[in-house]
Amino acid sequence: MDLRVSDDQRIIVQTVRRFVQEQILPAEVELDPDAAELPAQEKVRLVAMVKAMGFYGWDIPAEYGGPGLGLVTRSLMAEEMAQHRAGLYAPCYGVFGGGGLAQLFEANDAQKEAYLYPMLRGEKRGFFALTEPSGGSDPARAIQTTAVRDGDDWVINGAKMFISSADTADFGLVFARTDPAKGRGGITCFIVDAGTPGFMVRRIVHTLRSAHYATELEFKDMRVPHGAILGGEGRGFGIANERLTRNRIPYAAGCIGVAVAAQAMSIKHAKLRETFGDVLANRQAIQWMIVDNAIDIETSRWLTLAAADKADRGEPFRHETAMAKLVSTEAAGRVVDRAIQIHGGYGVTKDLPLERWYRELRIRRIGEGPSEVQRVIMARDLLFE
Amino acid sequence: MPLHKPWVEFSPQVGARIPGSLGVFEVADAAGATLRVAYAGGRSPFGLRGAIAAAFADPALPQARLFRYEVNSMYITRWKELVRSAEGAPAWTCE
Ligand SMILES: Cc1cc2nc3c(=O)[nH]c(=O)nc-3n(C[C@H](O)[C@H](O)[C@H](O)COP(=O)(O)OP(=O)(O)OC[C@H]3O[C@@H](n4cnc5c(N)ncnc54)[C@H](O)[C@@H]3O)c2cc1C
Repeated sequence: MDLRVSDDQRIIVQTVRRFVQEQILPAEVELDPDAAELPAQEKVRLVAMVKAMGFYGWDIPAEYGGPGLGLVTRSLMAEEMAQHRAGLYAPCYGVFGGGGLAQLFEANDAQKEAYLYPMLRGEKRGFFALTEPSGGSDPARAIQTTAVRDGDDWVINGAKMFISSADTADFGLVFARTDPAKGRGGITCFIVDAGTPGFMVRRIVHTLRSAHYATELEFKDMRVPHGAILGGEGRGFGIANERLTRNRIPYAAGCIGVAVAAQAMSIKHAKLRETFGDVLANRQAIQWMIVDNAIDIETSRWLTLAAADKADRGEPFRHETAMAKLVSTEAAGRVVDRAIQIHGGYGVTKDLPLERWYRELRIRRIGEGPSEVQRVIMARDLLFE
Repeated sequence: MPLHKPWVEFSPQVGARIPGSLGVFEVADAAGATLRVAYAGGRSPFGLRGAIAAAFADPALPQARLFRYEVNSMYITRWKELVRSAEGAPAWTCE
């Protein structure tokens, strides 16, 4: 691995860092500690700034009008964009825009016109419905939602669980079993308009996450046209898997960003807070926590950038991504836990962002493939490939 | 899911017994028509107790008579849910 941050990447990192420090952090002071949105006018102002910097739609490929940045650059940016209270699940409150459902880059021209381009313009929002009440770790086996061909249509029946913000979306990607005999090759992805007869959001599912809730969905004889299939019949699992794997890299980088911010707070606090006649920074117990934090951060960063580098080079990156996702999500949880300990009682108050990071980071060990599933992926590669 | 609790008439004595916790609340007129759906968040100095008292002192809500609340540390997502049901969400998002 030859990983050197280029001058361009260094400038991008510095620009994003300054933006977070000078624009996002001051705006956040006025918000509720669990807020996930900026006031509308403030958002418009900051989006205009990001557009002027050339970073709007930061993860959109150049052919679709985005800056076309590689995964290493995006990981470096994601680390910076997460360094504020809402940063884990609402990095910079969305003012950098973004691609949303990257699976739609696989769409045909008509689907791109109807869904991808409006989504990229921020006119339509989509949800991603893979997980079911029967399980999310192993969707190839767990998916029980069925789609049965009926003339030019497909009729979908089933349920989905933990689907983020489906009740406010305009459409969604629904993964259903079209051929029970074919295992993972029998899963197909359908683009479904919210409000299609038979589509129902059963309830909102509240979780540890402050920002966005999840929902439970039900499909009862929901009829969609054959043209709603994304990427071809039986290709659903491949589409979900490829994009989920790719998304795990910036997902890991966001966790590192939060860990970096928690570590900076810890160092500052340890140098100021006195107990028993000396500052915490001079206590070995505290020093070791700070050192362990630094090791966790550096390990996560190198693994994440290594995975991103392989992806950028077009080499296989599934194994490296699993390792980066597993290590970064777990390490960030430990870092924030130590940061809370260093801050004492203040660490668990809503005065500081630590308690929100602590809660939201816990989800990161489950979302986008839980830690155990990342180990399953790596074990398969190590033992059987 | 909407708030299913019964409405309670507000008075300073009743208000003093509201917990200082995080949570969501609704304020209504004497007929039970909802006037405001709000939350007591992490910056509310006295949680639900302070936020509900402030709503009843708000000159913009002269008809406010009744209230109900729910202690809930996930107050933002719960508030969004209540606002959506109060605004009349699309039929496909109802229970
Ligand atoms: C807030 C939130 C938002 C979400 N948003 C979405 C969304 O928008 N769209 C979507 O499709 N999904 C979403 N999910 C679902 C998420 O992807 C699943 O929760 C996750 O994949 C795990 O599935 P599960 O919860 O069904 O657990 P299960 O699959 O039942 O697994 C339970 C536990 O067993 C472990 N386990 C599984 N297999 C093994 C094994 N072989 N060996 C050892 N341990 C194992 C798992 O790691 C897990 O810890 C969301 C979840 C949350 C919490």
